[in-house]
Amino acid sequence: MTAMIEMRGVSKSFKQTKALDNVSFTAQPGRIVGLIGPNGAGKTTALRAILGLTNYEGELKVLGLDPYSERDRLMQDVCFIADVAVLPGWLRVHQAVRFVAGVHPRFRPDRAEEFLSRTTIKRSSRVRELSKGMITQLHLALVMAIDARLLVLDEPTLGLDIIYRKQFYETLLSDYFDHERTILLTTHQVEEVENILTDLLFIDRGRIVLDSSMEDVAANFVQLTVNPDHVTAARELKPFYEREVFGRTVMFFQNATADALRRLGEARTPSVADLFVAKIKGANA
Amino acid sequence: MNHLPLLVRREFWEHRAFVIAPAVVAAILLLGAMFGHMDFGGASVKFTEQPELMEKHVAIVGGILTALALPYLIVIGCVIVFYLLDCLYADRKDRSVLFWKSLPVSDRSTVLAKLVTAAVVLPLLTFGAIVVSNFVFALIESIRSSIGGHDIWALVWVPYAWFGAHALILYGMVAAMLWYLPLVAWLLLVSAWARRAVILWAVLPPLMAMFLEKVLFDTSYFAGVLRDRFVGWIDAALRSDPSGERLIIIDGETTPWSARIESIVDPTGFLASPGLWIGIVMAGLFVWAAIVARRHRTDN
Repeated sequence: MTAMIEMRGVSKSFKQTKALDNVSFTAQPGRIVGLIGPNGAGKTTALRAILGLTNYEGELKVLGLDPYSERDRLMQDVCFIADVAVLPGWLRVHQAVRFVAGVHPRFRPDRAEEFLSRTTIKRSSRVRELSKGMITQLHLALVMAIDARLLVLDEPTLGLDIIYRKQFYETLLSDYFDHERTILLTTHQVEEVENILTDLLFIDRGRIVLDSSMEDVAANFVQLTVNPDHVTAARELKPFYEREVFGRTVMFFQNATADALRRLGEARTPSVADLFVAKIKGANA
Repeated sequence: MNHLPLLVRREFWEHRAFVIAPAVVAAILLLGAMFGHMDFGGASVKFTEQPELMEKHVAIVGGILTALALPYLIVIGCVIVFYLLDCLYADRKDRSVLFWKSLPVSDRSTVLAKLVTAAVVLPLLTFGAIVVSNFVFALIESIRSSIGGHDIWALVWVPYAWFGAHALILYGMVAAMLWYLPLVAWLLLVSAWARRAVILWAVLPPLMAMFLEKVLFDTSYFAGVLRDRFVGWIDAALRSDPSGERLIIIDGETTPWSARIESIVDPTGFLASPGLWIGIVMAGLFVWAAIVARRHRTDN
């Protein structure tokens, strides 16, 4: 099966900073990939390159197309929500549906109507009259009605309250995702998406610091809460990061199995958030 | 470009001034027709009895119809300028450009749709509004004069004057818009390219160029080029010297107004003027640059 996204040695510099520094990764169909990194790590730049919104050096194919020069063709198969505030205030709900229906060959207005009918959004309202949650619902209704192969979400739930956030991901999984489609998303709320991701991409200072499926994370990474007596012994096994939690030392190991470490303390698979902190801090140490 | 009608329609959704501004002009003019004092062509019918006076009469009616078009042209001119400055900038400012670019519409189609809206659709709609407005205006005046005991129907409803005046207005609008195309395209480019302060970016570079030329070479060639770009179409598209017999005298003053449109317009001379084609080439370059800028600039 051909890759959805294929990035090879992609770099992008702004005046002094390297937003992307020789980044390579592939995303396969049927995956939900979380692109996770601290602020200014290059997440948004990576997404923009994938969406054809910025130029870059290196090789990048999305669905076999060059995004920067073939954006309009690419967008027939790609949807994206950049963040909540991008629908223009003057646009009326029925105009939004009509416009997308007119320009997008894969948009199904009846599906959009179905999504909208589950909300309290009035068709004649302007976007500026809607609440933040409603704008996201509208945008989601538009995007869900497009039969796209790749969905890109950049901080889709930023600024939304907890009820909408939960609803958002539930809708995404139940109504949208299937095994031919790929979702690529960035978020600050790692805990929220931990259970839906199939793949992890950590990015820091323009470089990929982790590219792994969730299964491989479970197989390769161990978080060990070390017994105080075994700290030195554990350190000899070369953890890539350690920190103190409530007076106990917690170490992170790569390419290790939980069984081998169990005699030194409590071993388990780290959460995405903990792994993220360990990877970023460990790499910077 | 097969989405063009929808893309143009989108511009009308966003910019309600397209409809509101001409509607306000129409309301003011028609209120004026209903309640103002307007002496439409004098109260005398005897013009029509003599052929040379008939010609003068046609010229007066035509002149009034043309003058009534001016408020629309001035207002729509301002609307178009502000629209052009805004059309590729506002969505970058409010970041909705990310939504528009998430749809399968090329940057080229987007820019061309805005160009067509400003240079074709709005002028044509304005022309339509002028024709309808003149018709309603004349109808109101005719009815008012009938009620007042004067019969000006025969005076006002001269088909030749109507045809001539509106043909001249349309011709002038087309000629002016073709002549202004590089200015239109320049504003599009600034709108697509500037990160902020679009009005300054539109105005300052030409001013700076004039200033530098003056300081460095003590010449004002560029200023002359610009001046020609604003008013040059009048000389290029209209006969500067209508044959003497066509000159008419209104209230003792000689005016170059002629009743005969064919003696005023000079389409072959206009099409042969280098200024027109230089302008069109410049416009093409600016539009191309605007498309590149649109692709490159996403948001600030």
